[in-house]
Amino acid sequence: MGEKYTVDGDIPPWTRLVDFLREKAKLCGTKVVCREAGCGICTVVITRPDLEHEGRYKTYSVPSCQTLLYACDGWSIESVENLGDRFTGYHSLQKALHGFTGTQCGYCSPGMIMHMYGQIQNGPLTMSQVERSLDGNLCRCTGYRPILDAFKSFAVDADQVLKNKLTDIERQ
Amino acid sequence: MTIGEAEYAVQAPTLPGELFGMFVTSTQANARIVSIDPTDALALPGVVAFVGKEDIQGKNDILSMEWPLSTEPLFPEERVSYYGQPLGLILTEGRDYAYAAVAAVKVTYDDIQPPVLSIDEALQSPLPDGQFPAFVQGDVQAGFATSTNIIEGAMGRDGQFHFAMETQVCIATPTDEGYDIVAGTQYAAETQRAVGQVLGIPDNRVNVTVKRIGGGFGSKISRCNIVATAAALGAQKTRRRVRLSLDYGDNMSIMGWREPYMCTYKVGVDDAGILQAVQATMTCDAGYIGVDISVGSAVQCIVSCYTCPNWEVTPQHVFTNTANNTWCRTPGTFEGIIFMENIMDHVAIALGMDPLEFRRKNLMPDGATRPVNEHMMRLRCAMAGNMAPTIPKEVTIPKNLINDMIDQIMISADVEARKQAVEAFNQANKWKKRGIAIMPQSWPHTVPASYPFNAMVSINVRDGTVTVSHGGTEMGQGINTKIAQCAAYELGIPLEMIAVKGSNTHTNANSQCTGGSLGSDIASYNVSIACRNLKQRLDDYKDTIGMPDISWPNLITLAYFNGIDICERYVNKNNEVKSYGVFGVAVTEVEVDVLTGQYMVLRTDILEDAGRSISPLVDIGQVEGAFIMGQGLFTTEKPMYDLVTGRKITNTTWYYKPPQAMDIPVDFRVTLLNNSPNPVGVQASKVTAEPPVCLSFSVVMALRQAITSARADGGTTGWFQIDTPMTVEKVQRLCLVDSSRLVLKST
Repeated sequence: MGEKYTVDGDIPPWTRLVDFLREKAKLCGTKVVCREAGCGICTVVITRPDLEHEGRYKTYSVPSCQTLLYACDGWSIESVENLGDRFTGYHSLQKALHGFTGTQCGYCSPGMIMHMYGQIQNGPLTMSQVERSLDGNLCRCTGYRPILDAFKSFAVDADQVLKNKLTDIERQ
Repeated sequence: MTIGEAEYAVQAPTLPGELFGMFVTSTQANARIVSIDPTDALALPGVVAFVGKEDIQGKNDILSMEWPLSTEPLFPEERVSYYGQPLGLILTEGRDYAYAAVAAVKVTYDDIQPPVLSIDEALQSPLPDGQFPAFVQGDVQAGFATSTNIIEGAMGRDGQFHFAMETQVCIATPTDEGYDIVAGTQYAAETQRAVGQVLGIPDNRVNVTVKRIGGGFGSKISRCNIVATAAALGAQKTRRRVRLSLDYGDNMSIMGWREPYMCTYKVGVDDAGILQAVQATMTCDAGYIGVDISVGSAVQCIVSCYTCPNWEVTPQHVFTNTANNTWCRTPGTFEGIIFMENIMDHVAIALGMDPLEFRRKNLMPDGATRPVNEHMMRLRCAMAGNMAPTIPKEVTIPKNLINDMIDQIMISADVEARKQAVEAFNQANKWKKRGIAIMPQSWPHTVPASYPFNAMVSINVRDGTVTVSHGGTEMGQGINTKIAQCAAYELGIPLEMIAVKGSNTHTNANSQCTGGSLGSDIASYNVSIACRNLKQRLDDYKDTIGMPDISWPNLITLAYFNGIDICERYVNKNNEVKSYGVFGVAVTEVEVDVLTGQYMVLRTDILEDAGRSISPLVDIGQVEGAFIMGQGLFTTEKPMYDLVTGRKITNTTWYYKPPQAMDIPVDFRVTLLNNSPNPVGVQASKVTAEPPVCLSFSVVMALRQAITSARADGGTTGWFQIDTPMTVEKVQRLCLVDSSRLVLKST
């Protein structure tokens, strides 16, 4: 599926995953803003060996600005490009964020999508879990309400109105 | 956007040979520069050049027409005026090299003076020259004479960082003819002029393009020129492509924020609760240089939706050793409106009247006149290079919709019942208190006499699809959506056939700045007119050839081959797009934890007058986002400085807190007013980007009610001054919980 990268000594040890993704892998869908894990914009989803359970893997979202490249040895990294695009079709989360008008300037959107994508990897969420999980992702434009609605529409206890809207969006 | 492929200035990956720029900034706030020595830095690996004021071949001034009476140096000539001021630019082969290089530049200072950091400190010295005229109507002394109550007070409102998610960015590429500038700018034409001015080259050698920016909020009008001119200067010196993309901390330190404000007032009112006189002084902190000062317009916006025979409101601005404060979503208008709401609350409480009842007694009647926001009009005309000698003094509001809107929201938000419920709740609870407040407003949308946007509509001959570029900047406010809708509507073709391109300084030359809610409004107007003209031409042609049922693509092809121009450009003429008032009402309920000062916004209802909205989903998004941005300003966002060095301490996401997902109202209901087309609006609409920011003051008003109840339990009644932001600790202190009340209940 993904592309395999091997890095050697020509990349300095302090290189952050986000800079590698943008500069070397040329995957510029991941944005970078605060470089201190305060805004959530650079979020990617990683799968790495579960150190507590041998042979098993863990998948979750991380701020790629706080992930050193050399810490990613043997990990699988998913950036927003992997979810979908206008050529291959969009992921449901992308359709929902768009359909609920959860994007304005759009700068936080890839991070929002990847954050929620990471959250749903380990089973469905409740609306309350969606709300509580979003506090690491900043958005200045929307005031969050449409983003919350978009992601809550995937929740197990989602309001029927939200569910219907999601169904409509997916049909389009 | 949701897949990350939307193009922003720094979306492009780094190209081979490209240089990375990082500013060397001052570590003093008020001192003379003795020397700047980059020798050690230049010896480090990967460091290519240091660019300082000596490299400027044109003028050391990043403002051209933005505010023609002012100049602002890119790099200071003699003294540094604030901590974090750019002194020069280090250019390296990549980001990794930049941090060490910047740290290795040796800057020495002498004549180090203590920094002035607040309005209070600045007022110890005489006011600077060039103060703006007061807003005067009637005679306040006569008004005080007919008053039976005189109420005096004050309110402070601290600054706010814009927090556009994308920082200030620019990529400058030398070309065979000059420079290609890809910048995150709200005002491409001014960026073009500034680059030409600083580099000392003709403006037609500078191509500025902007596809979209990751949020603006006013921060990228004049402030973008700092990075744009610096990047271009670096490209001029090195003949290489230069990328400047500020780190967040640098962005927050180098760039000015929303101006801090202070308002003192004296108000006269008669026994019937009718305002007789409002006398006030508003003071804003302009930062270190007086470039983007809003207080001149703030004083004229104080009238909001109220009426009073006598006004005297004096603006003053002061300078401090802080970055040049700049426009921030509804500058001036905002302060006028919220300070007036504070006054209305104060007077109502002093008279023992219900705050809403007092407001309703003093609403402006139908057909009332409002002072035109003259200062802002002059300023914006000046930005367009037009000194506008004649500006109308006032505008008539034929119908004050506020009364009806209050009636409507009283029912839709069930206000009376909830008021009683809040009262009952406060009776029953000592350590949790609730408050509910209703805030009306009339926001003066001010279109300057001269404010051109340069729109271009081209029909493509093969398939009849349409390409539009409009001179405004898409920054999340949905300008491209509205433009596409207007074009499709006027041409009578499906929306899918319209593509909106980015702005550039050739196709959309000399367009104005996308700010003051004017971008979407005027650009939509111009694109509508251009499309209407095109449609007319094509309809006429259709009549000529006698083929009324011809398909759109066939019509276009035929017209093209018969010499009909299938492109159209339109620029609005002076006074063509009209000013008007925008009405809005908000009801907010909060719950405060008295012991900790923590609080939650339980519910907010907003009824917003958007005229006949061009794009309701876009407008609702604007209203919600605006309200939350204002809520942040009033609650969680607090700028702080190191009092000794003048360093901005709150320059990271760890110390500066815009609202997060859990901070918004638990129940948030936004409604656009029905059946209210705006007779003078663009496509009968009204602007929505800025007005609802002011409505967030309803959060402060509701907090006041809750805190008042908490104080009353401890035996303190009456008015108390609120200076925002209402941080948790401030709310806790205002609740006046005395330790003597904290006793275990004996059973």
